[in-house]
Amino acid sequence: MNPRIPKLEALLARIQTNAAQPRAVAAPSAPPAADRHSNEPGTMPSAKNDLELAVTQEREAPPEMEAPPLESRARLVAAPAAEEDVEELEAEDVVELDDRHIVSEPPAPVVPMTMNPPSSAETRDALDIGAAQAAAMAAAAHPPAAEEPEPPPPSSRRPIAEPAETPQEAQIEVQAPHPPQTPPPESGKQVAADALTFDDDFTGVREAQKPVAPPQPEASIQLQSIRSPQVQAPAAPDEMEADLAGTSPPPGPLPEMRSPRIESAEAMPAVSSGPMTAEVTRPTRPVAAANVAEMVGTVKPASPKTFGELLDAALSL
Amino acid sequence: MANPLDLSGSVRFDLQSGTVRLFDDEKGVVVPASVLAALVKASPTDTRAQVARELGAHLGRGVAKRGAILEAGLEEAATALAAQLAVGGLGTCNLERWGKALVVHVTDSPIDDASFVASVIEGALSAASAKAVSCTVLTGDNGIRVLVASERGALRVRGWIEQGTSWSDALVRLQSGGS
Repeated sequence: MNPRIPKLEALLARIQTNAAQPRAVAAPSAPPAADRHSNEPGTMPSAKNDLELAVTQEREAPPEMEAPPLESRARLVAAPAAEEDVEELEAEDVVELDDRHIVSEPPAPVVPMTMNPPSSAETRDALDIGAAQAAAMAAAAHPPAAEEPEPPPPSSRRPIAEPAETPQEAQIEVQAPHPPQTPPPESGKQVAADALTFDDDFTGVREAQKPVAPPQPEASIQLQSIRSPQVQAPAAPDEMEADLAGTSPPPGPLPEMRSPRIESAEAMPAVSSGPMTAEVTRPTRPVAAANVAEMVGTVKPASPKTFGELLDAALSL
Repeated sequence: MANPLDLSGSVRFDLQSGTVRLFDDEKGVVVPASVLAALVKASPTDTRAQVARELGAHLGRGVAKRGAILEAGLEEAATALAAQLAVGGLGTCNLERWGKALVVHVTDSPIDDASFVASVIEGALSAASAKAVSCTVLTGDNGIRVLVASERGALRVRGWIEQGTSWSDALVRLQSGGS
């Protein structure tokens, strides 16, 4: 038989005895451990400090927990942190808690941290500014007829969209309109999004104005083999990501995994509103004009070789 | 006339008999140029022209004696003609070719009558070439320029010059077929 059992039984009996006695007035509450850390600028709690704080808290907790008068007889006993600590526990180390005490405990004051994390709204705006702008424009262009809030989607699964077979098809999916003010899924498995919206200035990818007809699905095995694998959308890690209005996490590969799209002349929108301008190419190379004129043949001058020829020519005049 | 011009024996003086023999053994007279000029000046035009042509013919015969001038080159012909003028004491000459026109430029002549000189050239070339040659005076400034042409051509140029046309324009007009 474990020799500790009698000791524990004695301890339990003592606890019960103490529980039957009326509670004393609680000592002033000690600041939480976080406050201590925050009160010491430039220091962060380490694992060792956490352990020490935990022990300290356990030791200081009883006066804090015993502050309000207890009405219920239900008590909570702090669990031993480690087995080896059981022997060191004294009777004064026992903490007696009840539900009321825990419920009535005021919330811990918000202590500003050294590095303030962004709020959920800021994070949402930073992640999806373009979507928010598009949603605002859509809402302004098509104001809802009634102020009836759109019912939240059911928690059941939505049909997962087929992955894009070609980059053009994926582009069409990107251009698909978003349902305005779609509430985020409340529960259930994360579903694939219908469209993606990324900041063009950030990604460098420009959307073509002219929609391209979606190609017919091909039954080629090779094409299917090069498709990007369907990735299940991971669940939102926190509520900030789940609060994105009108957007959803990317259903497939990340945007940077997509091949860059080259905009062709056919895909460019036809500019018909403004006047057309001509591209002028001016000649810059010099032109050699030294021998532009070429004399072919010469006038044979009268060149008599003898005096007789010259005299004959002169007498012909 | 390929050989150098040899003028030896062109004038022979016989002092015993008191005669002067020319290249063709014809007697000659040594006359001062001024006397000849006065005689020319005093004689009528036709006589003056006739005397000048006869003088020129004597020179031309001397040119022809040394060789056929028609087959000679321009330089040789010019040399022969100039040498014959020099032996006669009438100066020297050059041959100028203005297009098809032949011009004889006579310089250092003691006879300042241009028409007389022109008649001498006409007679010399006619005798040397055995052809009917007509000459007329183009200008008397800075020597005497004589046009060698046909009789018709010489008459036309003379008429244009008498009308005031410059001798150069007259030559151009002659060769362009102007009337």
